[in-house]
Amino acid sequence: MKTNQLFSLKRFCNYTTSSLILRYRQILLMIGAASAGLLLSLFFFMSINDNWNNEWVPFSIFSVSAASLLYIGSAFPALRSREKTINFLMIPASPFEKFLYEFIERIVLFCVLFPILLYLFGNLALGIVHEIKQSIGDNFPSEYLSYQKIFKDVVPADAVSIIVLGVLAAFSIAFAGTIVFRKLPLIKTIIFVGVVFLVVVGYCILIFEEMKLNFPWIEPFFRGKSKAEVFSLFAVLLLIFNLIILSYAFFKLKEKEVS
Amino acid sequence: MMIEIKNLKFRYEKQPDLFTGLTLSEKAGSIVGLLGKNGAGKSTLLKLITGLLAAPDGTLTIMGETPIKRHPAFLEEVYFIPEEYDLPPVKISEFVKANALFYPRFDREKLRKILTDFELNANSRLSKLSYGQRKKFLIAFALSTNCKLLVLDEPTNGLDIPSKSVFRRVVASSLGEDQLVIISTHQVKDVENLIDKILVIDQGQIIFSQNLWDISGKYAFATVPYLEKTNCLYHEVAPGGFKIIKPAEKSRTEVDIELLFNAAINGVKLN
Repeated sequence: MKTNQLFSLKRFCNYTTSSLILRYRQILLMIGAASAGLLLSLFFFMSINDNWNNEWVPFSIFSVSAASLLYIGSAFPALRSREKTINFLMIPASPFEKFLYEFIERIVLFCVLFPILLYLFGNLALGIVHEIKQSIGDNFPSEYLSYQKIFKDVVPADAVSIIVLGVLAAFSIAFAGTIVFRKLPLIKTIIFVGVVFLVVVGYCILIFEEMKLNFPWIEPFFRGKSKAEVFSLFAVLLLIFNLIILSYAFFKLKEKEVS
Repeated sequence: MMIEIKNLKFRYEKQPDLFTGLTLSEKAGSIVGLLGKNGAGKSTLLKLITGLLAAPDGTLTIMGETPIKRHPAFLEEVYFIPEEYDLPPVKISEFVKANALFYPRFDREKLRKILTDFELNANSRLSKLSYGQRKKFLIAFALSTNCKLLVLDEPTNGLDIPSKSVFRRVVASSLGEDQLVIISTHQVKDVENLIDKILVIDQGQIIFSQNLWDISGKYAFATVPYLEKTNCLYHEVAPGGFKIIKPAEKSRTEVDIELLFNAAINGVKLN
């Protein structure tokens, strides 16, 4: 083989350039839609709340969940129809380059861009609502969005890695679902994960509650360990889980066929 | 050999066998017509050749590579136009800008000439073009890539009569000796005077594989008012009498591909 068939920076740059030429309008449109969605939902929630002092955390969780599900759950748009899949598979780039580009566009770009949009439009909406409420004489206790404050006051420092990896795990599952399911990937993934979750929870309830059993092998893992050590252990497990999900997604993409 | 297929077996899930030991080898430098009845497996064979389907059993190598691995070096040398296709809603010029960079020998001047032949404007938006115009653009793009292997599935579907003749002309004049074109079609009239080899696929096998020059050296194609009982290898009723295939005489006749296909499908041994 003359060149590396797994990854070549030149090919990856070509693939990125090509994708951006064909998709930049859609990407800009999605950024516009996310901005408008943020503004409108913030106006709505601020208008029905008398106080916006402690609302940034729940709103951030809500908006990140909704936006990420919609955006990451529509990854690999080329796999939604047979004709588009043929075009996608025949592009002279390796499956890894195609996978990596989509991962960057859907997950990395989201993680970088959405907090910026939330910060900008969140504080803009708050400023506008504050001014309006003040002008009509309403008292509206509120404070501007500050990530530094959230991470300092709300999120325990030793839980940051678990939260980040947990969020990444959710993103990875949604991302993998778009490769596995051709039609309605987001809905099917949610149903699939929901069923698995219910089975696992049901099993645990059965084992722990009904049958009065426990897992003797699980106790030594936590016995005598500090909170930070337990969190680190969970973080490692989450990291492994993420790698497994992403590897599975990559191999599903690599083995994709068009009948 | 550009294409080497040995003893290929294939079937779709919950379906009967489609290929039962298909063997085929093709060199570069020709335009091959792949003919077969509906459901014979023409499109499936093209998908196997281009790496869109995996061959579970048998040997399949294209330019020395296993297609299903879809190595970029392989994909740079193969362009496939499927029967049904999807194009992004961008201008022709944007599509070219986005895709030409993948093909190392892409020839923009050739593209410009073929677009002119097909009466297409580079500023047209692909979503505004008719089905036939989009197909003409894809054919122009495929030829301009200068890929070693061009695979065209029903390329003349949707083309108007003048465009079919332009299609034959541009394909014949655009190819180099290191290229191979495989055209799968039902419209044999559209590819007459273009293809130089015929492959007939039936019941999971290649049942006929010869180049047109050899065929015209061995067989004569004629329309006669009465059936000559001697020397007639195959005949069909036609306006004014019968169309026949018989052993060649002194001069070569033009090959009637449709008649030849029907003869092959009906079990006449012509190889």
